[in-house]
Amino acid sequence: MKISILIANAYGMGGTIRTVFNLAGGLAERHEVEIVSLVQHAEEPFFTLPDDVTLKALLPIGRMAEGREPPGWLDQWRERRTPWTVPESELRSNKFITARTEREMRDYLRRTDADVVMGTRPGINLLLAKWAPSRLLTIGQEHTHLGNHEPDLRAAIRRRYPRLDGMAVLTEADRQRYLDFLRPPPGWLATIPNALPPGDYPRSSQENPIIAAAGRIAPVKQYPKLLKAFSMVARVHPDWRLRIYAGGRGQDNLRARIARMGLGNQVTLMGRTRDLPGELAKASLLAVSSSTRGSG
Amino acid sequence: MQAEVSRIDSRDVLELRFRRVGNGPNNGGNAALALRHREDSAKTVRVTNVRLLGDQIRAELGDLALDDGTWEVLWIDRDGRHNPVATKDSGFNLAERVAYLAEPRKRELRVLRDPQGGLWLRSTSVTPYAEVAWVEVGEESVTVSGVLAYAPRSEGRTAARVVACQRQRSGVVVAEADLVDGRFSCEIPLRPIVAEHDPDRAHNEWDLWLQTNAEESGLRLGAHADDIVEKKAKVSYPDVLLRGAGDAIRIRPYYTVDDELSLLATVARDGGR
Repeated sequence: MKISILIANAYGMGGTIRTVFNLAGGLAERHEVEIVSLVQHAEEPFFTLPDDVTLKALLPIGRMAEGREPPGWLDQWRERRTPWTVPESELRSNKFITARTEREMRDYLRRTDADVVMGTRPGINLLLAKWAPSRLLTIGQEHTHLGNHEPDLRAAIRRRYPRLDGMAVLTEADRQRYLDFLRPPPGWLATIPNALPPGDYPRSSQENPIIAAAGRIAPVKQYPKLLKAFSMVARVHPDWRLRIYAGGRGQDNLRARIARMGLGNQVTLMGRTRDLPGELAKASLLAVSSSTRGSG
Repeated sequence: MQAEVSRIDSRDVLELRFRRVGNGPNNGGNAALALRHREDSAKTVRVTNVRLLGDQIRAELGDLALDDGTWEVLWIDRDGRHNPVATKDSGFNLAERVAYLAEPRKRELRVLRDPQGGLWLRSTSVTPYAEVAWVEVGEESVTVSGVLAYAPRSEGRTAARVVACQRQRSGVVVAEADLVDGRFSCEIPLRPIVAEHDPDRAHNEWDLWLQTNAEESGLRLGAHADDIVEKKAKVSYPDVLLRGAGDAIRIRPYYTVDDELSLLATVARDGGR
């Protein structure tokens, strides 16, 4: 069976991308698996592509588009236009879903030889529900939770998700929310927690007074809130440290905030790491300050 | 073979602990280990002083001649085969690292877990330095405290001072330090640094050294025990603005590319906040 997994940008660094790669690697043990990225902004993906998984991109952007023929007036118009299938709040959450990528995705769905196509965020799931030919088995994946979606997105989900052949959420709590919301037929909705590839992972000895946090720098991760919470701990427990594994734009602001709050001795902005399990194992606590975790 | 715990103690004894007998090297007490250099596999050193205590191995590495670099830890089985040892332990324990600093030494050994789970040993030539534990920025001073690292420690109070040396210039600022049982603390006044500021240099860096009677050439202040490298982009302290007779000068502590502590003085671009 050939399984195609559609993702907004497989070349970036983030939790959804990592777990999609992990899932693809697991599925590739028994199936032919392809990850399809709506856009490509870098030569190589940040995460290592699992063995036997192929990666293709529908639309090069940024420097990856340099040297190519510039888009014609129709494509330029499409890049500016928003796809009417996807509501405004979802378009604000992901800039890679445009009328242009919608068009590329439609073309891809028309010609793909995959048997199963999976979406990995609401906007892609909605486009799948709208444009996938009936010969394709369509699965929607949810990486946040229903309660996190704004009313316009919830309305679109209620209207279009029933056209999907199945759906997976991360937690039993979210499955219950979707059951109440969509009243789907038995077996349509499954709980599939985030996957980890098999292997020997390091284990924290819980000896170090270190709290770890990880994820890209974005408002949704609420690092200022984490710093505020940690500052209360820091005053009482000066031996404790907070290590934030986060990269990308916004580092300077976060660093300045750490200095302003007088937390320079106790909070370190670690940047990105390719061995996150190894770094987390040095800590005794993991802090998750994100407002949109799948666990709700 | 996978260790649950892999550590180096302050006497350079490598300690490996295994979960079960079946998991460990239970071959009748004839434990044998070797180290293979990661960059030159021809360099393989057999560890001769190895003790097997139940599911625990203790290997004394202190007298072993090891070049600088990263070494793969190998278990030698009954047939003489060299097998890589894996570990679940990050090998990092902050309290043990601080304890390791207390002994004078010229070589530092650390255990590492590579991302694939292999157990490595890193050997590094070291010179004594002053490990910084805390930096406090005040209105007209910066206070630093920490411990002597890899240097002999005297019991009780010892005379010491922190010397700030202006990089590529001749400015020197000296502040008396408190040194007790190897722990130091010093409040560095910033007014003399403002007075020595050379406006012809965009950045005036002041490198910090701890001088003691035993270490007259000075121990460079730095932070290396916490496993965080490239602190320059990771650790941030607030700055302080001081107005003098001339320009207003902004000063903040920072870590250099070598993770050593310095002060950076610059002319405040807007003349103030």
